[in-house]
Amino acid sequence: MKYQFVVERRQQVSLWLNLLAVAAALIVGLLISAVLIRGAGANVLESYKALLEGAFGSKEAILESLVQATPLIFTGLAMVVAFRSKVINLGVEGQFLMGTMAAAWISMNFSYLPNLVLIPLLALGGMIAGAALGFIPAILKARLEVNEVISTVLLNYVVLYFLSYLLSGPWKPPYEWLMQTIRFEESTYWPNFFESRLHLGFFIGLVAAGFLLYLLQRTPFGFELRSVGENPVAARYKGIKIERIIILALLLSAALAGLGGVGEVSGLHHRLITGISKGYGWTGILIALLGQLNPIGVVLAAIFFGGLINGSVAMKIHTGVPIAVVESIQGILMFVLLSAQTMVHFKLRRIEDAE
Amino acid sequence: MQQKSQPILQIENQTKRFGNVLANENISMQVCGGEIHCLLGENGAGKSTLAECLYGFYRPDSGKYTFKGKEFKPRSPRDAIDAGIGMVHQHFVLSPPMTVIENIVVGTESDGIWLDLKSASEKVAALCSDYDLDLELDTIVGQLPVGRQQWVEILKALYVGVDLLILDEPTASLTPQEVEKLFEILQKMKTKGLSVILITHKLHEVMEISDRVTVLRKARLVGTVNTIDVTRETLVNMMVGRTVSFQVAKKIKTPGRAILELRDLHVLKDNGLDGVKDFSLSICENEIVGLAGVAGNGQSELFDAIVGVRQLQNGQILLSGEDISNDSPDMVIKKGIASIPPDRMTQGLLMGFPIKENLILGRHRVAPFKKGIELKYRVIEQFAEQAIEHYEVVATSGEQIAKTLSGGNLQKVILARELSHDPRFVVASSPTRGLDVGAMEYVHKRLVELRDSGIGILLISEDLDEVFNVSDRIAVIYNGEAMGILNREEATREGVGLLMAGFRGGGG
Repeated sequence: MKYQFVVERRQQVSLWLNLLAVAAALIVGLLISAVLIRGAGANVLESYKALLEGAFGSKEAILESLVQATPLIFTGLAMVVAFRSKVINLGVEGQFLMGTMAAAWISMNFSYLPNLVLIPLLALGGMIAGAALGFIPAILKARLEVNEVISTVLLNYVVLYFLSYLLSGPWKPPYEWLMQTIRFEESTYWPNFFESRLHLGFFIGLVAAGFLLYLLQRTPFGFELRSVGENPVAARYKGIKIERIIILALLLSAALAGLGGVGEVSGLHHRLITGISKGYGWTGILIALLGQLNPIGVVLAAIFFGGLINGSVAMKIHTGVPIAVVESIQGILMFVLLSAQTMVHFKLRRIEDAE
Repeated sequence: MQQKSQPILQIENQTKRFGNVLANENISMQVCGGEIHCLLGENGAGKSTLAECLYGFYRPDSGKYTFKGKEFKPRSPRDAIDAGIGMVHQHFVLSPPMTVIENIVVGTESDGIWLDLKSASEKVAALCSDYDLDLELDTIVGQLPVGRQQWVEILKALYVGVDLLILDEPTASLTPQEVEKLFEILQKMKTKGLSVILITHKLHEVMEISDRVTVLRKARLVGTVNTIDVTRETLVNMMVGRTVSFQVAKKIKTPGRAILELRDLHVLKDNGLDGVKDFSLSICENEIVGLAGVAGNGQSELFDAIVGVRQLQNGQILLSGEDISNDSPDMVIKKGIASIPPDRMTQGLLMGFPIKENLILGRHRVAPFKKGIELKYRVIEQFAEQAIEHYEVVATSGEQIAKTLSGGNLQKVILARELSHDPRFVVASSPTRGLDVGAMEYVHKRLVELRDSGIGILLISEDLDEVFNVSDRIAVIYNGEAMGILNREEATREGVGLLMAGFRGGGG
């Protein structure tokens, strides 16, 4: 009797299966990465030990991983809003930068205000700036059915080059050699915690995740947003105003991205520098998917990825693995984890061949 | 009778699974040469799967075919066609911008690179006169009515010379006259010694045309019988496993005041052409008006206009005298119009969401489901539990995801949502499409109950059985226009059929 296999979709995926898939993916990812590390001439076990200790091995390491996770929490949440409403906002990168610019502008012009006023003012300014950029593709899509994938992506470049312009002239002090602003007054700083670089942004990120979870799961607006994402035709037949939801979803997504930008300026760098976003907007897409489009999942995924970034630095320093290999490992781990999440929805079944 | 002829096809112990779902379990049947064999069963009984395995679309997990005395193992529809098995699908596989003859020969000319349309035309013309089909071979297929497009499908199979033709629910979108013509064609095929497998769930068709019937129920074979040995009732029993009443018990009610009035409606289709023209109709309290018509004659545009998703170019819609023309869908819902959309999966439900959330869609901004700024999930869950019980939805709980439910249960979810909040008027479009007999009976019963309680109902349907079964008055739509309205008592199927085909002066 001959047998053959067919691939079938699972109806439901249990939590255990999910955890098993994550574990299997990590093992596979680490095995593949081991080849690269050996190829670079380093000791595999030592490298992984350095990676793990660098990420979560001490209080300092953990706090620094959370610092790395902070911008990803915001861009991940921004993408959750986008994916859930099927308004594909690929402009998170630009909206994030808008947030950093708003924070810089407020910091440069209103530093005479007391810190307690500036903290919320900066947050608000960043959200408005992000949302303002999001409004352009939102209104174009809702009114003229312009594909938001294209409009949001293109606006990223507008913002990126505008930022370059600001940092190469108007906002750059004459004596400064690097493309960056002056260091802002202390009155504009968001507070730090645990005598580390960990700043208010991380905690605002946690609150934002909780708020988003509540909004999506418990309010009529969140229900409408999810409904439009699931089936816009049925939503329209049942009285939901689709255009309104599209606009509000994009504004919310963009505001979250902008708020993330503020954190990097006001909580971490205290100046606006070139390359302030290390592609956080794009990584946010992965974070949102890895977090299964769930706000709490996004926080966990962002912390995992923050640890990976932070641990990679330690691995590079301790074992001399070149940066290219370190970054490949980050890519490989994300790839296997996301693949596992897709594959877990399918199974192989053996069938008797008719022959 | 066909006892003398040899079986042309033998299916032995076919089993086919899709995931955990068993579609065919150990099914065996025989088809004789020159017979019309009906494959009868409810939706999801496994009829189409059986045929699609035979046609090479799917491969059965186990089982054996013998066709014309040889073992037959189709790996693709190509194999089936080469062996002499053709199939006409429910949704035609034609190229609308090409001509009839081009559609027929496409994929059949195997030698050389030149199409010999001339000799092909002669061959097809001969077939047409054989089967008494009045068809211009250079007509663009997209311009033909549905009934004639089906002829093209059949001619395609006859042209390559099949011995066995499978038709999957061929009458679903035909007028009664077109059905009659189709049956004439099938009878002629039979006299020429060809065999036909006709997949259907309509009993009167089985009784009218078939020699033998094979009945499937829940993926299993119930049996094969000679049609003259059985009655409709026996067949239903075999199909459903219990007795079902066809006639819905209806109290005599005198219609009350007009509840919904449509005055001179003019609505456009998506492509900007006229969907509904000068359409007027009024529906009273205590009344079900059935709107019959062949699919695509403006029914969906009319439905959309009533529920507020499609703009009126002209005309008025009045609900108890109040002008609701061009109200937004949420206003229409608030004013008490419940709607059962023709396409439940795309227009009615959030398939990836749990039942409980589907049950409040459209009412998620009103008490008791919303309080303050929050959705009250405890209330929603209680409501879901009641609705599941009251509407006999087969589901484990309100948490179950909609897409795991069967078609009948999905329709019950929509009914529960739409009818639980004391509507003043209900517009139902093809509410029983794709439902099995049991679920159909249930939907009709609910509609009649509502009518008895004083509500006005507009039932838009392509299924004449349904229209005649539950309506108090019957209107007909053709090409977007109202063709007339008849009392149920004075309407005949033939008359309504003529109106559906666009002949005025039909009717009583």
